[in-house]
Amino acid sequence: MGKKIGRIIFLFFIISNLLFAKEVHVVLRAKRYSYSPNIIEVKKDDLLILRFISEDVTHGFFLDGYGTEFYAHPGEIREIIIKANKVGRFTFRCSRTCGEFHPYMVGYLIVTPNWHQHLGFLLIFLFGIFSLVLTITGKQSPQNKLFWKIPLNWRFELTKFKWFHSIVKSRFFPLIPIIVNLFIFTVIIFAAFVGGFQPGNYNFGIMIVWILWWSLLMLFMVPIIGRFWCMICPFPLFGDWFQRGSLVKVKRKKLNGMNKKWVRNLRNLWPLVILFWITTLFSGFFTVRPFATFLLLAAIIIGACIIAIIYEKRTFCLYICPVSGFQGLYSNFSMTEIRVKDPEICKNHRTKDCITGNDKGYGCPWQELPFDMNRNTYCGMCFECIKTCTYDNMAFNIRPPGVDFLNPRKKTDDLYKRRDLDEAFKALTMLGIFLTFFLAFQGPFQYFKDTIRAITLPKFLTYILESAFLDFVFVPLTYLFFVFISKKLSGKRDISLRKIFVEYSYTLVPIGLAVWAAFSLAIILPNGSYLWHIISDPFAWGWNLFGTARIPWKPYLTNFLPYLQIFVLIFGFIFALEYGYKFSRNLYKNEEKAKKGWIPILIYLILLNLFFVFIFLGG
Amino acid sequence: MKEIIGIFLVLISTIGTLLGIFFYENSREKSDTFTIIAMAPERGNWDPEVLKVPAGKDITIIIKNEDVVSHGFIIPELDLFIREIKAGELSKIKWRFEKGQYLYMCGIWCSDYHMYMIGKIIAK
Repeated sequence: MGKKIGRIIFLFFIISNLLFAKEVHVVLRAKRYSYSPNIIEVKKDDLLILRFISEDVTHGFFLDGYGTEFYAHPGEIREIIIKANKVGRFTFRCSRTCGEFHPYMVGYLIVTPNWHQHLGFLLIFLFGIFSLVLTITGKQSPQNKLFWKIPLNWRFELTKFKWFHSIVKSRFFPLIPIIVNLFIFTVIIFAAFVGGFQPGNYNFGIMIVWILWWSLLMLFMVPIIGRFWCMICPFPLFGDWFQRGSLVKVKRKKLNGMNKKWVRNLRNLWPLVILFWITTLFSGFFTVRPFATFLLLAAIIIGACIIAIIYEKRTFCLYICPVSGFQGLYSNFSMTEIRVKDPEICKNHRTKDCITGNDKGYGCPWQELPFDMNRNTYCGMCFECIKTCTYDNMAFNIRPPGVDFLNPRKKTDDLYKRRDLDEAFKALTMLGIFLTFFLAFQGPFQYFKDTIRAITLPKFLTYILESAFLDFVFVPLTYLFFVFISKKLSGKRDISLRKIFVEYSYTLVPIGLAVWAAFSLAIILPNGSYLWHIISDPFAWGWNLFGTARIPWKPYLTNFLPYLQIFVLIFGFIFALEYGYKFSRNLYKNEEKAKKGWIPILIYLILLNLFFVFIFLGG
Repeated sequence: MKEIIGIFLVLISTIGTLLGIFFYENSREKSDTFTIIAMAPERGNWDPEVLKVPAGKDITIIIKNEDVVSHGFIIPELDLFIREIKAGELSKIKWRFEKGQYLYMCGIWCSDYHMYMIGKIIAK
């Protein structure tokens, strides 16, 4: 009897499913490098019937979250039925190498109600309202504490451990990691050279640099250990070697080369803001064509050597290397630092070995004053000051994230016009560049892919103009609008708009890190499986070093991607809110004015993050 | 001494790596290995279109698809075929050719000119 009822219920389900599930017929055409229609919208439980046609070369279809995969050769028609039983926005991507932009050929399937987006909106909204309530009731966390609990001056000194101390004191540190890295980059450069103009998704150079390195940088290195990459970067090695006349030992003499000084007014982030922006204009080549990556890396190596001959110390790293700028700014948020233990000892220490150098190490190559350093922006973590300090007064600390934002200005900041509009514009342009990258590499729109690939000169020029407008006009102006309201609302007259503009721009550091981390997750998870192939066959010569050359492409964990992205976005947002109010207190001094001045910026940050949730998960 | 160790390590990681790559590549059974690059006719066709191999000897042919569509590899006379080589991937066949000429062609509809994608193996 029970069995019978069970059967009837089961039949009823099937029939009702067939009766009420709406069929949605879509003819999906694939052409390099987008789908048409590029965004498909269905309701939950609809039956999506896809007729898949490839219009030029073999294209594939892999649907995140569902795992459906198929492909069609040119001229073939495939029919596939997908039951839309999961809600959210799912990316479908090309699963067959179809050309150099193949890894970035995507479209969206939106199954409504889109709970992923609603969840993101809700969380941003709740945290925003929570911050507003705290502001109005005056219960924001105190100036010297992070989230009411963690004191900002909390430090955990790693150099107090004997083994760690002896490692960082050795002349072979960080030389050994640099040499290991040099080995990896020799392979990368050679692979990028022999890879030529082929599609880059099976090229060692392209994959390691733009998939692995970039993701590690944004997800791990910069947010946690700051300029760790600068510590192990192999490119300035030859310049250092030339200047010092020795690789390991310390030679007590004047550095080789012309030792010119960099222009005083450009001893800030401005050159890097411009240079990074210019580099991104060619990202449609660098990230997909092995030979373009080869040219970029060769230019960086040769540039580093030439600059080391003309200018003093690490001028290249400080003011020219394109990726130095965001690492410098964002590493203020990171959880490690190299700092003085006891400033009193330095005051009485006349010789200042950390600047002049001694037989244990060289004076700071990054032209910092280690005894007076209070921010990470210009500290390259080369550990020379730890080696030179005769009192063992330099420490490598773990600290709460972001404490550098609140540190006072120094004399050098005023002298070199640092920590001013240069850092504000670095933070703002990183948001604009993120948006252009997202549209070109993770968006479904043919238009943005065509412009970044520069298929015609007018398209490339429009891309340059659009990018310039977005990065240097639109994003800064919208921000300025809220800054202006903040000033008006606070009622404080004797403070310049510029100062408010700069101070609040540091809220965009955790937010920028979060969006870049979310972007990188969507790069590494779908494309990470190429790494198996390329480590076994780095030059596409048919090698199989580790027996992994035949592992096929397969996206990893892309069904969790929306949740991971919500998580990192919220993480950045919370830190931005926490620090934002502290900046407000710093600016307006009095609590009442700080409250009023904070509200417009809070609204700006909420709107900005709602927008980011929308572009990552919405539609 | 430290200085020498440092310089030695730098040389190994750069020049040593490059030498290692060439040494490894050359030590693979090269003399019996031939490579054919598969490209649709409008993008250059098979490369080489005529492949000369020694007869009566075990040889390996690597078919490398550098194209953006899938290709196949068929030698009808020997009933020898690789159903599909995806774009960017490569396949190997091992075979002992008798003296003679063998046509080889693509086995997948890869472009409008698919039927012109023909090459020849000459074994002597």
